[in-house]
Amino acid sequence: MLTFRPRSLDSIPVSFAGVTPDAMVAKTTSQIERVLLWQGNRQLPLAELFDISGDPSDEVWQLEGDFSSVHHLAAGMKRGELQLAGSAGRHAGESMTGGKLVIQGDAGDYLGAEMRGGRIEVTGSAGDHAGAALVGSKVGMRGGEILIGGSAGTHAAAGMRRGWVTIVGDCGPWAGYRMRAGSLFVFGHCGPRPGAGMRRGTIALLGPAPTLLPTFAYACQLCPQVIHLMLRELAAQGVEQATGQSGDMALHNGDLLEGGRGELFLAQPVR
Amino acid sequence: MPQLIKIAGGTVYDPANGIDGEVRDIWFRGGTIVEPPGDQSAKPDRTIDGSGLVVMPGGVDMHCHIAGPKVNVARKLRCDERRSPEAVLARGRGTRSGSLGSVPSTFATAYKYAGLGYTAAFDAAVPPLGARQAHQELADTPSIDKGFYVLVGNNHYLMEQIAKGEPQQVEAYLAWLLTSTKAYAPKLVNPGGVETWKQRGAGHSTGLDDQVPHFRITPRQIIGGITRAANALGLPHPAHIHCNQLGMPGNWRTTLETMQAVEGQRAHLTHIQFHSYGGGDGEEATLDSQVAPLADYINSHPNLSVDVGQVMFGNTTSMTGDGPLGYYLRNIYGDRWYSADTECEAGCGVMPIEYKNKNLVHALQWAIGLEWYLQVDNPWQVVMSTDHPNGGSFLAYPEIIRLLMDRTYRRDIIATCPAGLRQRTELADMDREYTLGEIAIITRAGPARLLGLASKGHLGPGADADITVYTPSDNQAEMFELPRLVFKGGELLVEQGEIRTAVVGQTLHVAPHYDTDRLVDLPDWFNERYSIHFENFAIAET
Repeated sequence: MLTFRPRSLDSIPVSFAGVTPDAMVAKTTSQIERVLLWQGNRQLPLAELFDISGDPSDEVWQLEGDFSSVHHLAAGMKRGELQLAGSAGRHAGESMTGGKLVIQGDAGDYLGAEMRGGRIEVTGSAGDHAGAALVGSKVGMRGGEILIGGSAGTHAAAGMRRGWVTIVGDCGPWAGYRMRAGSLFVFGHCGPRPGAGMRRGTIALLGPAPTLLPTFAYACQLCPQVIHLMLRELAAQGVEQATGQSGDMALHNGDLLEGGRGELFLAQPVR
Repeated sequence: MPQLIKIAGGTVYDPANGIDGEVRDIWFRGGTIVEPPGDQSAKPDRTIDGSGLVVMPGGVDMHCHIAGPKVNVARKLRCDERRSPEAVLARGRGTRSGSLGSVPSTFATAYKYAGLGYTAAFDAAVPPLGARQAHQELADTPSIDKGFYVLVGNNHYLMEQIAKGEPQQVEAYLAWLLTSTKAYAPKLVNPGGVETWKQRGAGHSTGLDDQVPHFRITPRQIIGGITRAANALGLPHPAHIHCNQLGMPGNWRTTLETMQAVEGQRAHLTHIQFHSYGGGDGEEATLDSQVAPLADYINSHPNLSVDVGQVMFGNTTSMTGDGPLGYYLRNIYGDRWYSADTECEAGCGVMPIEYKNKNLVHALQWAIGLEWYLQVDNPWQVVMSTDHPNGGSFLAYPEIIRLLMDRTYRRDIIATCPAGLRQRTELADMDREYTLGEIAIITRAGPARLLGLASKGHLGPGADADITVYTPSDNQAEMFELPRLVFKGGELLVEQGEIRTAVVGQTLHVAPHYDTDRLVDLPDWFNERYSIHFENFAIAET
């Protein structure tokens, strides 16, 4: 295991792009210390910003401290594990294709954006665009799982095509905006306009739901087995809120402007 | 006195002066080519050894999109192309930073053109109201000489005057518009069709004899009226026409009718590849090539010329003054889309587009473009273009040159395309290969002549010292990708890909004479309809 502790971080953003456990596995610790990182508009050897110790060969990294000005943590990671005891900056786990990112703290915007595989767990809250598409992209997350223990901002899972995003806390507006497939679960309060422009995919709102857009039509009351199984899986992962759910949901179809093949399940009646 | 410079012993291709691969010296002083001194003992201040190298005039791109509102919209729309570090052009000694992608930033566009050996480029579609922005962007496009064509094919005042049968009024207004916007030529985009779509919000396909609602006029009358006026004004490049029904299966008949509608006058039909499709009823599956009958017409009508609008496989951005075309493409590709209605003047559509060699329609578009180069007999009537960035980036020109000069390579690429291609185009059976002299015509001498640029596109005495020197190679794409030396106005711009200096290029425009008395009512007409005041419209001389 390789351990990182911040040395001299301030508010100037540092990019960790390309510096992942799998990409650095063949390097020695002293080689990793010499890897150049961008801080603002200049490049510095990693060792000037972080103290590192340990052995990178098992592809497990432990980061300790406040990394909220460090962006692109685990971005593009293919395998291995990156654990952070502290908060992360923007674009953590962006375009990940495998491995595991655990953040015991909060994450910034674009957490797991355009992710293709692997798993991200955040104990705190995430910013806007979690699991979403980057600006200018057609599709967002294409695989993998994101579990956010706290709340998430706007546009969670926007443009999602495959994968599973779970938000245990509250969720901002535009959740699942222009979704094409995949699953989004929200246990807390969900902000306005969930599923706007969605073509396919599944959104399950297990907490208080907002008034739906008029382009979502009530279909029926049902207890879908797959939701049941997914809740059981979340309970097994330690999501307490997933236990005690009846799984009995009101299905709405939408967005009717985009063909209406998306599913929006509500566990509680619309306020 | 400025330095006298000689490029000694290069193999010169200067088709405008009948020089096709002769070993010669080129002399220039102070930005202009001069006669070699009669006195054999005369010494230049500087001699550049050109032996073993190919010398041509600087390239001239007569149809691209590099400035104005639609280009800037595209830059914002394609933020996705600017994320990777490779898309960033770092600041150099004497050069500014920029970003690349299919729609590079202004300075980056200039450096890339210069790096390719091009010394002049013309933006092909600026609405009159966008002229000010276009000039500001062109002022930030150094290294090359440039200009733009102003959109006139759906202009309310022109349509009213043509419908009234007032040809002299049309002439005066056209001259005023070119002068006020400081444009180089008039451009018709889907004449009448954009206006029809703007009024009705549906219907992409306006034929030459369909009535434009409210104006009681047909596209045929608009084409005839404006082409007549432009020729009567003696403009250097009278009419630059983007035909109706771009991209529609079966549109070749409309294109042929457009060629006939100019009634023997000088006219240029642009990105002709997009207008040469057989098939019918909006059925993409029936698409085939109808280059042969159209090229026959061009071959027998020296008043006409075309540029190709070659499609290249890859990801690019479509941008057009043809609003209904934007809507049509949006419905096919479903990607993000920008549309605009420019008051009494024009439309606009911008969206990302990807051409794939495994897609039969895209492969056919690629093949139809190449057919055009190979089927027009006289290279002076056909000009290289990708309609940058619509069919692909101008950076693809070296690749197109290789496709034209090397039929084995051409057939290798055809082999990667869907098998259905063979039934719909004869490209695989075409043996013609371009010579270097012919390439020099379709990339510089031809477009310069069609634009009436007397001092460009050739290396005779009096011409601008815009000179590109290439290192010959069996792989023509490599040869044209990386010129050995590029001079603009006698200044060394680029040396083997390294930018040496970025001189300020000129923005070229016309100022034809016209009868100002004819337009006394124009200010009132204008002020009733436009969102800006007439007094604020014209661009002042600087």
